[in-house]
Amino acid sequence: MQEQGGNGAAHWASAACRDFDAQLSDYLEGGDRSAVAMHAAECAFCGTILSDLLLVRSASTELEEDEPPARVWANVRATLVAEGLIRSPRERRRWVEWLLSPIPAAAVTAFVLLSVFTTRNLLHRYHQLAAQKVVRLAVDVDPGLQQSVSEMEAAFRAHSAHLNPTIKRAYEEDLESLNGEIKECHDTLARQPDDNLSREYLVSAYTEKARVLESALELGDGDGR
Amino acid sequence: MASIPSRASKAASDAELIARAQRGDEEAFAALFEVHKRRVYSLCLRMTGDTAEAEDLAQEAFLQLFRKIGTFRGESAFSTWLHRLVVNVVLMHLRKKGLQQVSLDEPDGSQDEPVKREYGDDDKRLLHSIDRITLSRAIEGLPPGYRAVLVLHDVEGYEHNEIAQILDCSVGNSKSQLHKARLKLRELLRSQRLPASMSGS
Ligand SMILES: [Zn+2]
Repeated sequence: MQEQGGNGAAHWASAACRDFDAQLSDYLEGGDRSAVAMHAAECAFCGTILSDLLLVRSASTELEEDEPPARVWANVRATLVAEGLIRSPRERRRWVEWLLSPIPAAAVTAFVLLSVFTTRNLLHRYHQLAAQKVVRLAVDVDPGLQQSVSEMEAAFRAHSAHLNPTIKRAYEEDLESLNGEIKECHDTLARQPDDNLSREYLVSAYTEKARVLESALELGDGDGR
Repeated sequence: MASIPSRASKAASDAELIARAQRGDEEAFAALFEVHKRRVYSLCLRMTGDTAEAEDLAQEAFLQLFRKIGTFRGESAFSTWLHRLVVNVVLMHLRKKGLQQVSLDEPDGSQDEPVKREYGDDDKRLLHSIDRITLSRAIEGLPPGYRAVLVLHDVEGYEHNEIAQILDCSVGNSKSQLHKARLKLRELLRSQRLPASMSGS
């Protein structure tokens, strides 16, 4: 910039100003550069730079966060659903309905065979029992399914010590609430054996419990790898 | 000290949400998004200086996060994990766009130019306060390399050794780029403020 006349604002860097420039960065990073503060107090121009930079720094630190537009979540959600990472309650219901509906024996066989290859023994047995249940269209919850779920629960209790305590607690809370539901269904059915809705809820609760336990056991399994 | 219990309870609630999200619970995904969306989006916005790019990158970062959520074992704080992931997504994007300036050890010529120091015409204190819109706009106007260091250090609170690791440069380089970035930011704020003050006098 060219030199300005008039009010005496014209200023060219002195040797002290150049030292100030060289040490300013360290000073702002918390380094002990008392010469910087001393020069800033004596030189109006450098004092202005220092106060401006302190203000820029503090304003940046306190910069508020912005709200993303709602479409960001809408897009994320849609992708998660498409990729099957989100399983909506409706989908879970559909899955239960599927379990309760008659399907060709060939599909059941394929399902069971797939289970053999993809799950551990316990999980495998649960799938097998669930599949058998479909074939028989039993009105009652298969005692085998109940037994399988209780074995999975025992396995979970035995291994849950290895889980992160908070994750473990989350699973336990889920199980507690499902056990409550199951008990309620059993109580209702003891009084009204013909209450088909309760029977359906009971199957659904057992299925959900098996799903929760499956997830917990897989997580525990993953930790050990 | 006062922040420790709240941080601990936040970590606990994150862990619960993570466990539920791992089981496909939509509400848990939505809650995790809700808790972290502002910081993630703002980081993307400040690093790119462009709202459309920031939206895409925030979306991409959350998707990467949720796809990997099954592998999260809680060894590090969830928010640390998330923010590192966001920074990586943004830097990958900037590098793909061909902005080599982001790599601070190979600065391009324009960035090494000393920031102009104008003596003579304005010795008054320039800035008494900076409103957030003006500041955000000025940060968006910084060259990408300067912007990255300034956002990571001054806005996001990363240390120089972390920035050096993230941007694959030396600690000294991170420090010197930060200083230049602040001077450049001051210059941008000065130029944004000038028309108003000139019309006033
Ligand atoms: Zn001076």
